[in-house]
Amino acid sequence: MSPRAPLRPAHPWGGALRGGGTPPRPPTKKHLCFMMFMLSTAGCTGSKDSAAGSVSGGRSARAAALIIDLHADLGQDRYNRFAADSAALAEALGALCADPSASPPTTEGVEAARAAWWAARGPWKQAELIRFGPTVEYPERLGPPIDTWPVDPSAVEALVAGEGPLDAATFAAQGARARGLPVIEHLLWADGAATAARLGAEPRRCAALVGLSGDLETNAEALAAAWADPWGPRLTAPGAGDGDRYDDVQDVVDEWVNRMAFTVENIRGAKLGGPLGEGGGSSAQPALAESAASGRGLADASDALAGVAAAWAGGDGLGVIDLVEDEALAARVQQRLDASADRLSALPSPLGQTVVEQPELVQRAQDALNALQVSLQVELAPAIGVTVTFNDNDGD
Amino acid sequence: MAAARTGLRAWLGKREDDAGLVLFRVLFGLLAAGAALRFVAKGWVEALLGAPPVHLPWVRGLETPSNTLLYLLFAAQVLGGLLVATGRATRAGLGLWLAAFVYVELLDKTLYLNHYVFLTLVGATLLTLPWGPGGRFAGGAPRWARALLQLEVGLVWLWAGLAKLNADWLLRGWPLAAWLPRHGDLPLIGPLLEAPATALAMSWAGAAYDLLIPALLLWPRSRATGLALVVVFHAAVGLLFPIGVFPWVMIASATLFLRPDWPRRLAAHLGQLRPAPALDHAAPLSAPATAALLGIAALLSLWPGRHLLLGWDAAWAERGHRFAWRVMLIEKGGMVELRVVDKATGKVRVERPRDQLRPWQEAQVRTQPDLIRDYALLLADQAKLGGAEVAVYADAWASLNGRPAQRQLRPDLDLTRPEAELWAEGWVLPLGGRWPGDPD
Repeated sequence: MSPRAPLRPAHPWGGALRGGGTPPRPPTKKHLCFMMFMLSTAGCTGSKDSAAGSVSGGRSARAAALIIDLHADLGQDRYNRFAADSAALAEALGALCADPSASPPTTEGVEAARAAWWAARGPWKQAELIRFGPTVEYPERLGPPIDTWPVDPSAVEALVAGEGPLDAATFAAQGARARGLPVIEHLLWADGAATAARLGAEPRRCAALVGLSGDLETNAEALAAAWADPWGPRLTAPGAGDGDRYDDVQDVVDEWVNRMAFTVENIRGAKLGGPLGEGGGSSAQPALAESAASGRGLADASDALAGVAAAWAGGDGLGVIDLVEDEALAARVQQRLDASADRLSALPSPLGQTVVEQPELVQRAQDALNALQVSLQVELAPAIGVTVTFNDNDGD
Repeated sequence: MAAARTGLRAWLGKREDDAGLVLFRVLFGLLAAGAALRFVAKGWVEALLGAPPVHLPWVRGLETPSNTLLYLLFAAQVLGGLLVATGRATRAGLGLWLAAFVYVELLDKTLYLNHYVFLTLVGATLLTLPWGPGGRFAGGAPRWARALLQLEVGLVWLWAGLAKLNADWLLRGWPLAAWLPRHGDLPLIGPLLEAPATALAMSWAGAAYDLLIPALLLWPRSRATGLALVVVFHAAVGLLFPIGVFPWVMIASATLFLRPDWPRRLAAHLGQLRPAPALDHAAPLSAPATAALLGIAALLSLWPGRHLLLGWDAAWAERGHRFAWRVMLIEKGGMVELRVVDKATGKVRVERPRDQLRPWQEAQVRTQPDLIRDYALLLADQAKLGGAEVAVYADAWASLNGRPAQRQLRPDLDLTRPEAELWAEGWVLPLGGRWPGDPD
């Protein structure tokens, strides 16, 4: 059988054969070296050269440098920013709800908290393509408690209506749909202009926001730390340690490129297609829009696409484009990225309203994203060797 | 003409030392048992067969048995292989192995492998041989037995070589140009594998190897060279591309081209003298048996080239790609979504193969037209269980050997229509074709 060129959502034969995760390990020499490397090179990548140094040599050298750069410039940068923004959100909510009885929340305070939430959402969505490592793998698996959508309002409202504590520890024990960014969004936006008044009238509602933001801040910090270690060595020097998730550099490159394509598909299919009614209905489903309460759905989509663009072009270091020899293909991917970003940004917000009133505009954005996905998944992946090609049960 | 027929019948009926065939039986049995054990040890019985919620079987409606039965099927393969290897019950062992192996292969088309087909073919051929007690041939092995096996092995190389005589392989070095750089981190040879010229050189060498190796093995004076090449080539391929037992199968098969008494001679060389068996008088093969053998040989020889005879596109449309020894020729990227339209209500929903298939299944489906249609039929069957009649349309994109992506299937054809109708309608768009409205 001829080897195929599939992008893979996971390693061939899935995680079942590799185990669902690896137990925590004490830092090894490799870990420590990596952490020193991260500290010493943070912010010192001033040229297009890789953070690992000037890259000379063939494709394998560039690929090895690429995964270091993507880990640092995209992953670590966004997660660090997300942790900082989550701390800012917790601070804003702490100020808003410092003493609801004596000093009732104001509309200005609510707006400041909303702005902090909006800001924290940015780096998080830009890192959406990183659906590997500590966001999904055990024991960390920090993605679900940070952002599971849609939210379960009844679970949150039940907590608020109850009598138990509402601190961060309380929410840490809750299911994913009752914590994280979407739940904070629900509490900050569901009451519209009456939010400040309700928070003042219901101190436990304010306390829940503080508890939720504390839980979020803890998880965001844990994510940034776990991304650095133990996932840093695993993602930048794969195959060198016991229990590594990835066998070699190409394995990690595959992961990044595959996630680029799947993120584009997710924007097209779930973020836009879901509200359009592609799930089986013949009419629009505005309630399925992401971040519907805050109206950030389109910004979420644009941020997610920005993450794909960052992985493609690289920051100060290398991007996936640096593995592409075919200039026509590189130009096509760039053109389609730009077109997708343009059409997304041209959509009127909120998305829930646009899918009802101007679905043809949403479909135009989907068409652009579809073309981008074709380029990433069908053309780019085989062109740079991102293929399953053969695997242990495969052959020719 | 009559003299040639007589000569052929006499040659086919000739008896020869059975040592080579007996050793091949042993190797085949061990490989058969080993492949089954490896499948179990890798956890693939459950991962590939038991766990997936849906399969795309070769026979529509064929159910996947329970895990217990699956393990029994693999136990049967191991037992069958060992019976063959030990020669204690060669025919029964071959029958047991073949039945269990073929049944498992029929369960999911996405698990198709050429070397599994080859093993099946060789196993079926071995089953037809006149094995005697102890897995030997009383009075020597008939020449036709080894000749048929040699033909089967030689055709694999020959058709694999002929299939490589195309522009992608010879002029562009594809798909090796995409695969080899993955191994650029190998010590010493890594940088070499990243050079485009290496892919081209290896393409030419690979084609030459496939085309020449049968002749090198058949000609006594070049046989040792041929055998050495077989070992080196398949070991190298096995190193670069983890392809399971395939290298071992081909190396074992190459021994069929050695002198029939080669194991006895080797043993003698090592100081283990074994007396040669007494050979029966060489009775010519009967006319009907000769005719049947020639018919089988013709079928085996021509079937892999059916796409050439019928004008099919085996690379892009993959019509006639399977069962044709077209190995290592295709690097395809693919992407497919299916629009399921309820015929009664007109409601449309979008289905992605990933929704129900495992990644390794989906990886095959998204690039192969017939598998896309199989998945469409699965969706239609599922809808029917819910009382709905649906039409299924595909948005399928693919790229062959580094070409720009293009739509692979006509998006306006209901894939649940009979296959013959779809071919008549040109459901697979030609390579280089463009559907109106698609992006440049």
